[in-house]
Amino acid sequence: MSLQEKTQSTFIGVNIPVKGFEDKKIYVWIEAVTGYFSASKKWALETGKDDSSFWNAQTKSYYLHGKDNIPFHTVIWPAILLGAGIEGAPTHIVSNEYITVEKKKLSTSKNWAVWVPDIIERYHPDSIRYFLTINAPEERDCDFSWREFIYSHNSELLGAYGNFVNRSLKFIEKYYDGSIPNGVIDDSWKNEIEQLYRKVGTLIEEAHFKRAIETIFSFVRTANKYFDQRKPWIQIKESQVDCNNTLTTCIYFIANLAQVLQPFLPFSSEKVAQVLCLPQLVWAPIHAPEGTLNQIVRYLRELILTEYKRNLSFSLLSPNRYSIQVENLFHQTFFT
Amino acid sequence: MNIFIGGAWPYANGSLHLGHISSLLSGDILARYYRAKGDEVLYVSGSDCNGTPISIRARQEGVTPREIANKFHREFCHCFEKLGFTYDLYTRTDDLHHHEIVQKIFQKLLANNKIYKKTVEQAYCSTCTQFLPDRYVEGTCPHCGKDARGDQCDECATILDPLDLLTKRCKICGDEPAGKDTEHFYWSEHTC
Repeated sequence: MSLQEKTQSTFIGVNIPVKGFEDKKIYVWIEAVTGYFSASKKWALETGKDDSSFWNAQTKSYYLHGKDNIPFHTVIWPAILLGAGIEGAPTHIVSNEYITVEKKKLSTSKNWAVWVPDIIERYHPDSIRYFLTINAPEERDCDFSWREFIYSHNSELLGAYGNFVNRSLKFIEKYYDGSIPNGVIDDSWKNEIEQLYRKVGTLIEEAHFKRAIETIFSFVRTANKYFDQRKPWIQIKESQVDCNNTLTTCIYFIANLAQVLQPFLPFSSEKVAQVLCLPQLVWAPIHAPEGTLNQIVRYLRELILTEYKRNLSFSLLSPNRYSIQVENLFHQTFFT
Repeated sequence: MNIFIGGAWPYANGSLHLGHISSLLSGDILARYYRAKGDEVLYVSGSDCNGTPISIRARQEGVTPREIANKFHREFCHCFEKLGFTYDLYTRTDDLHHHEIVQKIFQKLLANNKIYKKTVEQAYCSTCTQFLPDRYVEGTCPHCGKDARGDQCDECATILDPLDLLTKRCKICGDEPAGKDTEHFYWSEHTC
């Protein structure tokens, strides 16, 4: 296999570091995959941290790319690492089938594609993330259509998840003056939530992202059913204790849903975390938060009724409503 | 546990489309999940700013390859940020640091006898006084007779060597290139 581009110095790339060969370039696929290693080194340099703990036999390493890149990550990159005596060869290769648009193959030359700079100006990032995950071409090619995109957003993201969060918080605001009741959560629900973390966690680790988010949304439907069956609007008149238990359980569901959905829908989860005053989103079941009256009312008035509601009730027909910049409070990315 | 996540490097000669995000998004899901679990995560990627298609586009538009790469690198950063990607580092392959590390690895492979030198015949344009990479040679496909590039014939999908083409033309000046010997490094596959 030839290791270099057959070029001269007018072309761009990495020069061969051997006397007499300086005007020749290293083959792009040798050079580009080495970027994973050079980026680690650069990260270490910039943060003062040690990257060597990521380059050893114990590290789990995931590589994500389109299927046309598989040979470069399964043959060339491990060969370079082995040849250079660096440990930490890829352990997980995650590669999808292709996506089509309105049943036609993407073609950049024919301008048949959904361009990212365009779609991010018009739609909420969580809507895009949701659609791409639930329709991920994990096993076969999948199709993107605007009709499906809008339908999936309206019926699932907004209709199921948004609806459950909104109806629960509105109820607490209306009947409890914004103070989360201190009710009892049935053990069977605690088990179910624990299992949800376990199931979804395993699916993510094994790179079954579509099934992972399907599992969460199946629980969202269970949560809505729970609300319907408990009928808190009747309980509030007939049994305060039952009603307290219902709403505490709903808040417990919401807090935990925000946590398991955080990898998929980080912007919505961040909003929910603000409303419920969750300190940090972690991957482990949490109790229903107990907000003092003042805190919760303040948050409800400032966030749920304004920003939060606007964010989760986004209608695709008026994309301009989402011009609010949601800060990513989680993590600092260094873009160089 | 330590988790390394490498997202593919989008090529900086055109905008990202949904297909790119579809294959890259799972990296961010993994990174967020493992961080929430308390694991140490290193999630990196960058823009691929090297290679022939960027220089060809730059030549066509009368700008430097660096300008093309800058434009799309900036656009990629904006898109990833808006979509909530949490790379620990998003860099680029025309970064000097990247070049130094790649050269170090190359020297290591050389020292470990994983690569060797070999003389091959390659297309050379005497008008431009330079060797031509695959895509800089155009001509007629020897299999189907249609116009083809030096790397592959789009018409019949045959993988080609630039010297296989009939009526070869240099993409830069249009003159006919000739074969000329030159020395290259090759990967020694049996040593891995």
